[in-house]
Amino acid sequence: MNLGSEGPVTTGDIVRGIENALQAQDVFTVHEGEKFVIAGKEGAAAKITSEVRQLPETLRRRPPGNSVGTAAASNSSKPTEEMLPAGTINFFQTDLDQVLRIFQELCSRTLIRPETLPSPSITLQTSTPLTRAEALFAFNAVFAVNDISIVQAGEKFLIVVPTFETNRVAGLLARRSPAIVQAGKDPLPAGTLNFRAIPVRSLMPIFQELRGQPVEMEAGLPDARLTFVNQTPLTYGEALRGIDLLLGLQDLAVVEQQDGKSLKLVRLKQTTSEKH
Amino acid sequence: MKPALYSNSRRPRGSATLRFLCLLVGPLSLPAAESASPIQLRGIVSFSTNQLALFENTEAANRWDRELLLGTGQRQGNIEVLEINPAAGQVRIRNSLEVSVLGFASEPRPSTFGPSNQNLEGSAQPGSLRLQQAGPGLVFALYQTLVQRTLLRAQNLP
Repeated sequence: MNLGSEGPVTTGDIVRGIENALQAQDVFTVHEGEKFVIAGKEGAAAKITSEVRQLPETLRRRPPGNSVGTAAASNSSKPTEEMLPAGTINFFQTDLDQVLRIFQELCSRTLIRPETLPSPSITLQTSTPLTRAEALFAFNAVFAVNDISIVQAGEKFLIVVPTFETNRVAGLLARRSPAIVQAGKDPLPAGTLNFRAIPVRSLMPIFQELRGQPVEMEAGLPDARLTFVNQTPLTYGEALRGIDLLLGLQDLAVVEQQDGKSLKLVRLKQTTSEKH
Repeated sequence: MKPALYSNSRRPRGSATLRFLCLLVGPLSLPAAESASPIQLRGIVSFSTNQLALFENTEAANRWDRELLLGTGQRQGNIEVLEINPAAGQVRIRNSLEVSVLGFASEPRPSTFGPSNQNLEGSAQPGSLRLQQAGPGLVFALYQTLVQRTLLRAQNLP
């Protein structure tokens, strides 16, 4: 950009000068609330939907079973907001995967994500102190303007998908989970399930262990790679549900065989056709 | 000690004879080969009581050191801003041990904007801006600083 002021100008003039110069390059800036400004092509601000605004309010409440910070928050009629100082969040052209890891820690939820996400680098540098909810909004909004959506799945999971696949997630969430929970098992502590980019066949022994039943694999399944790190304690049922959602994002599902005793990992479309 | 001053585009050229002699003597007595400085001045902004200089360092080892937005006395990596002169369009910096003065390239001429009428009577100190071939990262960093808001930006911008 080549831009200069003529004569003495105020800060407001400089801001408007830059905004106009950006607009001439089809870049629009829109103020969002009191602490944010969105910069993107025309229509970028519309990506900050009511869902994007509301999700952080839900996420700021830590999920059940994750005791960190809950006592202070629940016992006080006016809980003190923890503030993140300006500059605490400082991503400069950072790989999306790294940003998602930090987001997962901040929101204390387990992310369910396909391996193939559009992977723009993310630049996010906070310039004012933010509450935890505001920081979560900043993450969620910067994902949204980069066409990545976060969808809540129960109290402990968030599904991360390209925005154009959001409708597909609704179908996944409506699907019956195949979990049969083993009784008498203690919840799995946070971080127990920690695998990154492992092939599906390596996940099946874990699924078998959780489910207590052998799982066959259909021949010719895609060699998808899966990532899953439980950020909070999970019951066996919750863990199975999380893995089920993860498989669903790859169009895979574990279904019961007709004999009712064994399980099989199949393509999701096949299970749909079988039902009909 | 008098610092070695040079503008990134105007280094003195010796005569052909002198340069020939220097070549014979060797590089110890010859200034570094003439080339564009790896540190380019991309902007100066003056607002309120602040002055900031914008640089692009094409030889930065880290990408986050490539584009710099620094005030007087601030340092990032090897680069420290010693003085910002908005009127002259010059910034004096120390890069490692070398002190130099950076100026703007003469081309292209920037498009301009002036004061809006409603702000002429404002009590704020008059400011100024000059951006010269400033990349989007620098422009957005400056914009975020000026509006004092966190920028939520799409990455697919020019």
